[in-house]
Amino acid sequence: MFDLLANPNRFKKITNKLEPSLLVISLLFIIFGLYFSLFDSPKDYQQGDAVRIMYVHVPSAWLASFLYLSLAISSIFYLVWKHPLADLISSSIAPIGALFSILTLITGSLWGKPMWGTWWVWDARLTSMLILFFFYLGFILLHNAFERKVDGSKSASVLAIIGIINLPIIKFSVDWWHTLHQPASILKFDGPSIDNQMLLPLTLMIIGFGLFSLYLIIVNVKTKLIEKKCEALILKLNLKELL
Amino acid sequence: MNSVYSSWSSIFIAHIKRDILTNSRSLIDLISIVGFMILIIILFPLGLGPIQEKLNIVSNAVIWVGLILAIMPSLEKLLQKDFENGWLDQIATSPIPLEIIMLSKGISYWLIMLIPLIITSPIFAIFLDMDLKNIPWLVISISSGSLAISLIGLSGSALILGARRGNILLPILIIPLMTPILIFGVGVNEAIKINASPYGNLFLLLALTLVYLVISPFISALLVRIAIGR
Amino acid sequence: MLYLKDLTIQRGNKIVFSNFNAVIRSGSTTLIKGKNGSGKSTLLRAIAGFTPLEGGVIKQNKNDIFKNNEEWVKNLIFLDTKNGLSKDLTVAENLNAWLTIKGWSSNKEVIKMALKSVSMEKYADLYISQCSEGLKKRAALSRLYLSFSNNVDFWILDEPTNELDTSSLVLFKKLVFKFLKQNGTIILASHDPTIIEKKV
Repeated sequence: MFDLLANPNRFKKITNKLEPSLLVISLLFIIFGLYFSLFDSPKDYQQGDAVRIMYVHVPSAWLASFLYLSLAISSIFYLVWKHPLADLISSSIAPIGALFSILTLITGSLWGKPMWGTWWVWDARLTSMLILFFFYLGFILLHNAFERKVDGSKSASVLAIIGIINLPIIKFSVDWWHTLHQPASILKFDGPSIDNQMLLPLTLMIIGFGLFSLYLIIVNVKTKLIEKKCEALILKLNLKELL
Repeated sequence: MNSVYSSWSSIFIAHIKRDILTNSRSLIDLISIVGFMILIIILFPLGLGPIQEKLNIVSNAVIWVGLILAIMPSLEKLLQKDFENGWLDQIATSPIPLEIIMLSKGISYWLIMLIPLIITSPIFAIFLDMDLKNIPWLVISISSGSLAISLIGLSGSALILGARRGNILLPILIIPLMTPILIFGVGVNEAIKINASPYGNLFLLLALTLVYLVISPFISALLVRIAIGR
Repeated sequence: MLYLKDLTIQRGNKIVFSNFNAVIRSGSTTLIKGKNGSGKSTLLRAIAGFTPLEGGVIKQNKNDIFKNNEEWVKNLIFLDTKNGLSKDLTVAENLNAWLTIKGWSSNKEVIKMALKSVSMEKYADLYISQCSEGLKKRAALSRLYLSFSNNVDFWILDEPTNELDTSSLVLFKKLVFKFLKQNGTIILASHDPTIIEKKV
């Protein structure tokens, strides 16, 4: 997959074809997912309609975590094989991952109000998500903290890897510290414990969110490729002026 | 092979001595760390009001949080000084692995900056009305966790080498990494408060210190190589 | 012999050298001339093994200096405009610390001789923070004297003479001649080509 896309031109060729269909498919998933989650799924017998926040909250939380994993993997690719495209991919993933972690925090706090009676509860998973957000933030800030742009890439990639080593430790310590949240209910060994009618919209939303963020990442990478070309052109023009 | 390791260990110790000597000449860093710590401690009674019971509840956490905050300004300089004056270049052209030097940096920082805070921590505890039975455990927990804090700080200071406004960036990058240390460190004394065993938290704290003792020199050396290669 | 083959070196996004080739003979002085910002320092930092290459190899005889870095730095003294001196230590303490990380034996006598070679023996106990730029540069150059007792083959020097006055320049040249006589190799970047004109 990576070798296939490693050449920027080939990357553009493939993604140009992929891009519009990705957008349409992901929007279809999200629209159907939203319909089912808002109108055609049962209320929770305890939580009532408030449970519908879950259909945004859970997919965002999953994506925020999954995108961080992808960020770390592409950072490793960049550090080991030094391919510039890998750096473009990680720096494109970071803001989207940060956005999903914010979305998780906001929906979590909205969900918390009817459930726990306050906007914010220091529950283990919300706290871990908050820390994950700071890893995204740190990556973005460090990536942009250097005078010459590429100088930040390597240090930020190392930060992403430090993050992936430390996140399990942080997760464990925060769980140790406190847990108010209901136990995980989808990934259980004895099969899902939530209603099938709830599982359908949740699956649709997760796939929709996933495809949509892939679309956003591709657009982001392409923009950065164009930006890079512009910079190279400017550099060339400046040199000609000097000569 | 044996002689290689013995020469590594003598260079390792010599470099710690050099760092201690360097820092003993300008005590400003040390004075400002302890001063900052005292000010953080003072802020809490001022903010909470002079009610003894409230202070007693938060004392343990305040000292730990104060410790983490107080070292932030000095961490920025930990590697930056030697980066700017070219010492790291000289180390890179010496036969000793950079990882060993980084380990010595982490340990010398701990000796110079954190030992004074460990020694003074009982005084802060008394200021904050901590129960006497908790004070020895406070010292034990800080002693076990502070080496991990300085090693995390070392990688943080390697991350910002050559960055603009690294001093502002540094806390955002490394405070999240320090949360487990804070949780287990505070946990030791919280267990004592409810008459439970403190050893669960203490062992986790020591285990984390060992983990960072292993990974931090490698990560810091990697980052220093990146910085001097720019 | 040092072989530079097809070097491509980047600084930021800018390629400063592409497919650069050179062979540096043992016992010679190579002067790298160029304007400020033309990449002199970048090239020297690549040869010293700091800046990773985008392409090509640097070999000392048959040894790739990036793959077998330890072997390479053992025989090398690198000195650039940042002198590598801690301002909170004295001249002698700095030299002592440097000797230890190089893994070379250090004692008062060695340090005294090294400082004498750049006529710095009077300033041994002066803190670097109290030194002028010229004194700092001389303190850094005193390391070169230590090559003679420690089998150093290469000097990489970036603008070594910028802050030197005439009398120190003479001392520096003395060190250079002695080193060349022992078949040492010098790679030097400077915008002042007169430093080596007396050679030949």
